Amino acid sequence: MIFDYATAIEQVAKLLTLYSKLTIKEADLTMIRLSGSIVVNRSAFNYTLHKEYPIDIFIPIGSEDLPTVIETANMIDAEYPHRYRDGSLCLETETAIRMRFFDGFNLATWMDEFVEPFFFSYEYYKRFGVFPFGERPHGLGGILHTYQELLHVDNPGTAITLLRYVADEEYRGHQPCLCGSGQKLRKCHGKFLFPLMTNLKKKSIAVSDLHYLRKEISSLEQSKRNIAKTK
Amino acid sequence: MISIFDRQNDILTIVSQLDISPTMYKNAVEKYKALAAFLNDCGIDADFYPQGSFAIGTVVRPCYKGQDASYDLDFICQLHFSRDSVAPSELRARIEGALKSSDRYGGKLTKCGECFTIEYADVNGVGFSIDIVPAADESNQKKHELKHFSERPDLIETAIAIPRQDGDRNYSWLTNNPRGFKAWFDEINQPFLEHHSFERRNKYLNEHRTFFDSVESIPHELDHSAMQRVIQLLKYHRDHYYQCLPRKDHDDIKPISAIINTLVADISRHTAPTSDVFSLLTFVLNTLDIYAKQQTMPYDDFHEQYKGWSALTRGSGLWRIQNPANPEDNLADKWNENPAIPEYFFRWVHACRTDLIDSMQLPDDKFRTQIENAFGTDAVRNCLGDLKYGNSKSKPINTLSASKPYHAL
Repeated sequence: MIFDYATAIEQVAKLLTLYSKLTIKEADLTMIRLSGSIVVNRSAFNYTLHKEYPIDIFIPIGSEDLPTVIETANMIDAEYPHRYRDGSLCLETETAIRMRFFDGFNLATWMDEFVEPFFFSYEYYKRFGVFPFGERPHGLGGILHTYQELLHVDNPGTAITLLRYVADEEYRGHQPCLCGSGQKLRKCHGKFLFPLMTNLKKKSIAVSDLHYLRKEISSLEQSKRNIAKTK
Repeated sequence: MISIFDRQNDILTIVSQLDISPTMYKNAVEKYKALAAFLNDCGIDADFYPQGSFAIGTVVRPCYKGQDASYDLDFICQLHFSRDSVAPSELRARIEGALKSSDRYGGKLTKCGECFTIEYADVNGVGFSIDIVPAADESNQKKHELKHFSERPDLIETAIAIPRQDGDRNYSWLTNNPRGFKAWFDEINQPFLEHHSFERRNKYLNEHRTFFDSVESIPHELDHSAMQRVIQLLKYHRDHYYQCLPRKDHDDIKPISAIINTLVADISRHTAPTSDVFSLLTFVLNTLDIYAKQQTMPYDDFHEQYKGWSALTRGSGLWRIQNPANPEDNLADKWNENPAIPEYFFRWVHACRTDLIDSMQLPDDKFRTQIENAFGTDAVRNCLGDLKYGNSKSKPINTLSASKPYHAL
């Protein structure tokens, strides 16, 4: 569970002191909805975004779901690829957000590191045609991309191999690295694997993602086989 | 909220910081006159005259990698004979020989394809260089051909032929017509220049009392009409925008000044010369927005809907910005080789509107952010100080660990 009711209320109270134009619009035992606007004043790469965005924030309570945010004034172009049809913003992969908050979710940090930079990326992209910090591929590719980055590997296949090792094996630093470099694991990708294998919370995120990836990949392969058969 | 009038004035003040100063102007004139006299003494009978921004009064101090760079002024050294009577290599060699023989210029000389560059010592900390472009009068036959294809045959008489060195021993003639361009530009600029001329020159006089004692003594190159100011604003904005563009090729895809000069002048023909700088800027950007439709709209549809819109076209899928004084010169040639150039040109036009027009409606602190995006924090701070329009510090994003937008399926 990301939030129990008491934690959610406590964190919302803090958030409202940071963003004075947000108010609680709805609250029950399953969800809190904040509504209003935020002023984003952030800078990177010689560009500053200083703009106000009307938004709603949904904070699920007693659930494993992450909070979501909707931009309510259509200030983001309909064709911008990082927004869902219902208007909610695709801030990051769940993997990246869950890994960031493996030790407990913090709404204020989530706003600072995910929500505000989302608007920054959008405006920067509109101005310069380039994502300032990059973007994730859609769907499964985005999850794999997150692990490639976490584990410092170029190839999605290697990322899966390393994830399998996280899920199924004990860490043995002296064995050859799974990336095929010929070096010992601890001198190669061990330093990136080790935190995932020794921290139970991080490990459970990785294992659950691996299950999801396996399931999705096998159903993808199955549907490919079905198409081949019908041909 | 600080008024739109004050905001516009502040933007103009920031841009005027990049004007060529009276000292710099005087220095440039002295230098080029000395050069002309020297070449004359060497037996080279030539007209020596400025081309480009110095000729049409739109000089903006250039910027290179975030630093102020040196002024780079172009001069044509046009010998008094036709290209028929000399080989391109010979013409180049004559000018080069004369310059190299000089103690004064020989050591400062570098060669490029069409010109010789002389680097001067800094004046008051500002670097300065002169490009000398050798030229001969264009041949009569060529002029005849050009007139045939030109919409303004009256401008062609001043066409010149520039010797170009493509390789060690490879030379060719390149046709150009800077005097024709200046005549075309001045003709459009004249009514803009006349509007509020006395008030403008008087203001300039008051700001530069130490240099000039009367309105009449201000050289016309230092006086800027609304149209010239629009060009300077756009050039300055362009320099900063492309320098911030996170692409390695940002200098290669930046629109050349000749494109800005031509488009602004051409578009300005269709509005009142009594326009102030920001009304004219709005008109120019609105018009460019219409031209931008050609990125996706078939040319025939565009042509049908916008009859007579000819400054920037895309017939047969090829971008074209006609040099009004040279029918052989498509200023958008490179746009057709590299699609990133038009793509970014129109992105930049959009950014100009956001920063210079739409920003007028923003609260003070957000206006300040927008003009800092437009011209750079330092340029704005140097001109307006730290506090004008409020001082709301932005929080930097950690670029190494910043989140990346995603889209689940």
